[in-house]
Amino acid sequence: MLSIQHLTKIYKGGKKAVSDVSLTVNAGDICAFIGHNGAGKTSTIKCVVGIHGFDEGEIFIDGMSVKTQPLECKKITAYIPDNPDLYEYLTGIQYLNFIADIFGLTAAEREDRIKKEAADFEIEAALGDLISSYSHGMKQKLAIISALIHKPKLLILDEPFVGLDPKATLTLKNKMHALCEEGTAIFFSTHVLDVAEKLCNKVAIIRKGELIAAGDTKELTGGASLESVFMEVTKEC
Amino acid sequence: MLRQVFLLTKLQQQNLFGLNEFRFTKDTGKKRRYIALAVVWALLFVMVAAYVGGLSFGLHLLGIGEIVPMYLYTLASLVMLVLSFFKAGSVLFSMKFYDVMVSLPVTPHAILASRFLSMYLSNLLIGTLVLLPGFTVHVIFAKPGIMFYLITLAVLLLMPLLPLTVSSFIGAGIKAISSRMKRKSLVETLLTVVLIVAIFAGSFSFGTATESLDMEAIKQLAGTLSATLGSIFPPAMWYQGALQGNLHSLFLVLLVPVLVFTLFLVLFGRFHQSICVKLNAVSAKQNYKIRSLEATGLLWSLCKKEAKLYFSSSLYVTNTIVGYIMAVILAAGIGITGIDSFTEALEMPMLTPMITQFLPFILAMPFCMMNLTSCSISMEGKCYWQLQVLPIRPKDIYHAKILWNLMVAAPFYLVSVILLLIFIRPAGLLALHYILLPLVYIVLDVVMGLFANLKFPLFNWENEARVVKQSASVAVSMLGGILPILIPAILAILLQPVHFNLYLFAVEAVLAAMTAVLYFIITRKELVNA
Repeated sequence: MLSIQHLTKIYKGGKKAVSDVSLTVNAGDICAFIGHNGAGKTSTIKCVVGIHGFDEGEIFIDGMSVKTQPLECKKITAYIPDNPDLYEYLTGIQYLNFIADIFGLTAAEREDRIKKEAADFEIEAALGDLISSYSHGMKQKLAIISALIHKPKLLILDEPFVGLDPKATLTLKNKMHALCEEGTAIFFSTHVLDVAEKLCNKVAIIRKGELIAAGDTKELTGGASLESVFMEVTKEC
Repeated sequence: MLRQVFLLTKLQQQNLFGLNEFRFTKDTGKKRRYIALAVVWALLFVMVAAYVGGLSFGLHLLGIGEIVPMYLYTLASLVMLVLSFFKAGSVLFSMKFYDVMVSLPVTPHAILASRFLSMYLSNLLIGTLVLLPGFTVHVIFAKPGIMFYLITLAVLLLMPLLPLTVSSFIGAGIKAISSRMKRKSLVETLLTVVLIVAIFAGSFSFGTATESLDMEAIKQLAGTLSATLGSIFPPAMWYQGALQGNLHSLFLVLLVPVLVFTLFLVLFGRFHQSICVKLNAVSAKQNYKIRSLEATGLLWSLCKKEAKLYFSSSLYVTNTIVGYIMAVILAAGIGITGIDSFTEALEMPMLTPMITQFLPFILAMPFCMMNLTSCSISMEGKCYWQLQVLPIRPKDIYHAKILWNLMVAAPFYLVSVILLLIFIRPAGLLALHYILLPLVYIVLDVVMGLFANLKFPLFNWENEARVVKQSASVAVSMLGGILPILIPAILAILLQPVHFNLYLFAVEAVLAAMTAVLYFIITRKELVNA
């Protein structure tokens, strides 16, 4: 579903944020992308979702190139950033309706899906209020709902659990499992290694822009904890 | 306290015109954009300098050079008042970083004082830039003594205080009223617009009432003009008196701004924090129930979002709509008073047919002073990432922004054109140009605004005043809006085409072609990277 091939991203000013990264996330995979602060996780994700262009390599989503077929790729992708800066001048429901319009959902489809997701994340009562009145966690919940209502084939999340309360965290984990069973590919960055270890069947570790380990979680850890593996492979030489 | 004020002011001034970003960015493209911005501002300054210098020169040629200082003082105060009027509210009551600042060991008074000081420094810079060319011409002609320089320097340093007090008073008043309302932004916008209309309507009626008097006065004696200026703005008269050696006037021109400002500061300091708290209180009912939802087409949905974005910022609305309001006031004013009475006041009735012909150009001017599109990409700010990741063609985003601007301009355009057609009754084909020429200019200006914003986007802003009032795209768009009007109008005056209607058709064709080229370029552009 997601194939990143030899991705290199150099920022203006010459800083190489991502260097020759290649990884694959198949349909039904939940892949955690882990690394220290500034390792290149968000830069890679932003290249995948179309926020950043990139200098070398290719990114394919469901076999389509994000360079040549960006619109087709975006139609089947959903992205939730680490800091959900949403349109604060809209109410929650206006925002979700806007997203539904963009993805061309019928009135009945959006009604059903928004009702269900809003109930699951316990946010329905707040949907009539302006987003500017929301807490960070509520904004995060709204961003998650907006990502789920169009049933994406690829879900990309940047630090999705930051700001969520324990109940919403559990709801999101359950949703991720359910989506994965339906064949959605999930690729997310996180610092919470415990969550990554329990939730994901795949892990990719990035250090200073280079992918240093990637593969099946169980194979990669080989019985040890992900934390110890991570500390070992990211150790400065 | 003084050290706190100094540090906080320094912090705010570091971001003035993006100087700090220019200094430290490694992005060469960004640096180039800042240099281009500096060039545009320099061009605008040259235009202002030419106007002020020319005014000063003209008054000396008329033999009434002694009124130049007070005239320039009034002019600079007016410019400062207008510029700070629009941003006083948003700067003084901005909550960006306020909570971070109050958690630091600084007093709320220091925060407030630093905000005033920042505005004072900006105004001082603007005032100096406006006055410098005019005073240079005056000094060359009048060759004044040392006292002139000393008094002028002291007056110049205190000059921003009065406009700052008036604009802050109005800004605080509007914010105080709107802070009690549920729809704060809408109420604030409405109050500001009503005030702008009142000011323009007032100045227009004042202008027409005193036009003949002033023209007579200029020809006959400088004293009458000084008295007129003094009655409008007494500090200008005090400044004049001070230059003539009147100690009483010197005290007044130096003390009154300081006293008025201090009094305001003391009173304002009492209510500042409570207004800030009320303004930032967001009502949340938490009682929504999902009922039937409506599906909308992509373009209309984007347009609705654009409308919500527009009305969410009173600064954005008031700054962009003022030109459109001026167009209606201009059309109503010309319609009601008639071109004849204006040319008779100037004692040049032979100009009536010429002004009748040039009215479509004149009407286009206020429409092209400012548009919505030159800020509409930048106004996305931190939310811009959503447009980048959603499956929307850039073309559709641009269409929505253009369409929304045209929807805002449309009622003002229709009213002003209908007013002119009813009152002026242009004959034959000229009537068609009354309709067509302003329309072509509006469309060109809107498309050019978007083009400028795509060239000079600004997403990393803390206060919308930075986008609406100080961004490169706005400056470029202002220049780009006025030049296509001035060039064909001046050419027409110089060439005096025999078939004027044919000439106007040619102008319209060229403008339409320019619009088409810009539209072609824009709609093939990808979204810019933030």
